[in-house]
Amino acid sequence: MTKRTNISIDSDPAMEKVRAIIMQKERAEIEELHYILDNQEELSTRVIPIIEGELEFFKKQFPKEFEHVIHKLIDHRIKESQDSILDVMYPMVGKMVQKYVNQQFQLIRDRLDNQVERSSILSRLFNRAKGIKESDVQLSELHDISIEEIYVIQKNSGLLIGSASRNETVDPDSVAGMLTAIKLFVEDAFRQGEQNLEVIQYETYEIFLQTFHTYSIAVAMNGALSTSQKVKLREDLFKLGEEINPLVQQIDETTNGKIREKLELFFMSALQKQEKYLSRRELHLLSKNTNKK
Amino acid sequence: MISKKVMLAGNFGVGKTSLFNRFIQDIFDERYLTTIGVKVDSKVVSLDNDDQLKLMIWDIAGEVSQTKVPQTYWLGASGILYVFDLTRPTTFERIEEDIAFLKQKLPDCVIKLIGNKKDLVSTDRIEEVKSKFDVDAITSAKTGEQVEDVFLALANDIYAQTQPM
Ligand SMILES: Nc1nc2c(ncn2[C@@H]2O[C@H](COP(=O)(O)OP(=O)(O)OP(=O)(O)O)[C@@H](O)[C@H]2O)c(=O)[nH]1
Ligand SMILES: [Mg+2]
Repeated sequence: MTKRTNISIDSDPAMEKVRAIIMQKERAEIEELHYILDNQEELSTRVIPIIEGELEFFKKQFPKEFEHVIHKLIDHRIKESQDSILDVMYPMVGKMVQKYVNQQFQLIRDRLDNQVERSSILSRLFNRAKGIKESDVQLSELHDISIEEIYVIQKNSGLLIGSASRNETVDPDSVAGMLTAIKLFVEDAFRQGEQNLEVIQYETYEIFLQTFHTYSIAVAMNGALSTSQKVKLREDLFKLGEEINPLVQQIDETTNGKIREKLELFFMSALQKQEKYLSRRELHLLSKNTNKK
Repeated sequence: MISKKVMLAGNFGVGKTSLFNRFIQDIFDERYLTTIGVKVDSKVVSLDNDDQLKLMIWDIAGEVSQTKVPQTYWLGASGILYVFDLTRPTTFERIEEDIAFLKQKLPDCVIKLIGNKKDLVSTDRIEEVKSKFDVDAITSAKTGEQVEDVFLALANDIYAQTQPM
């Protein structure tokens, strides 16, 4: 029914005329619109301000509108690269804690210094009476300590990532595996929460373990370090860790060589200035004695 | 060279240390010195395709159930040789349970089931065991039979898994 009515209206010339009269105004407007749409210049003068306004609004609203999307993206990125982020953070957090602890120690040390000064004068007198030169005592202590080997070991699997050694005797792979096994064994046996095994003593050797998130650095030393020397060594290991971090994120055939380079540099600097591992006080005493000589 | 971590697992006294010593140093000792903690040693093997692979082998203390092993030991392992003693049926009892546990713990790990001390049992016993379990190798650490082969098979499987398809 409706269909037939439509047809009759559309095709009726009288109706067409009526429509033309009624729609005159609208037709003119449509033509005007066509003109604007087809004319580039006309169009842009009208549209550009709108776009600019929208852009301005978008810029202002962007943080608000997209905040959650961006946060999600960042969360995702952090989750994806958690390991590398943690490896970067470990030394930083460690350093912060260490700095604080060091400061506290410094305070105690300063307070104790006067007392120690007195007793060290006593011991010097005692040594002199025995005919031992103070400088000899200091030097012999200094020469007792040497870094023998350094290993960078993948956590848990115990696989060796890189190593450097003073004398290439032992199989570093097995040492790395064994050190990890000992570490896991001890940590399991004593189950002290999240505590890490940090030092292994074996005859005259001391093996230092500095644990990062995905790997550990083990330093085998001949001779025992004093507490202040240990603090210094640990500081140096944190620095070494910073250099090693980027290398261990993507392990391939070249990793071992690159890490070995870093370790050898570490070795050299440690050997060249072993006084690095002496406390300021010990250095002070040492320089006083060498000056006297 | 690529290194891979391999674990020797199973009940105590089944011959894990003996297999380890036979493979690495080609020696055997009749005495039983139970393992405390872990011993780690390495051996380089030549694969079927002539590439080389370094196996870092962890010989751990035996446990009646593998759930008793310190769980951190398993981390990073690419292969496990699960050993049982052909002469002691009590060491068969937990095979299925243990293997299921290990598979769930390390889904990408190659696991091989080994019946050891072949020199002490009859062929009937071996057939019986084979019919019950999906055994990968029947070895004797004493005579050395099949020891090298099973380590090599494990190494080849691990290597194949690390290669892109
Ligand atoms: N005849 C024979 N004896 C074996 C064989 N393998 C191991 N044994 C003996 O079985 C005993 C236990 O062997 P181990 O290798 O110490 O066993 P294990 O599995 O390392 O034991 P735990 O370290 O306690 O877990 C030792 O007396 C070995 O000499 C074998 O193939 N044949
Ligand atoms: Mg053993």
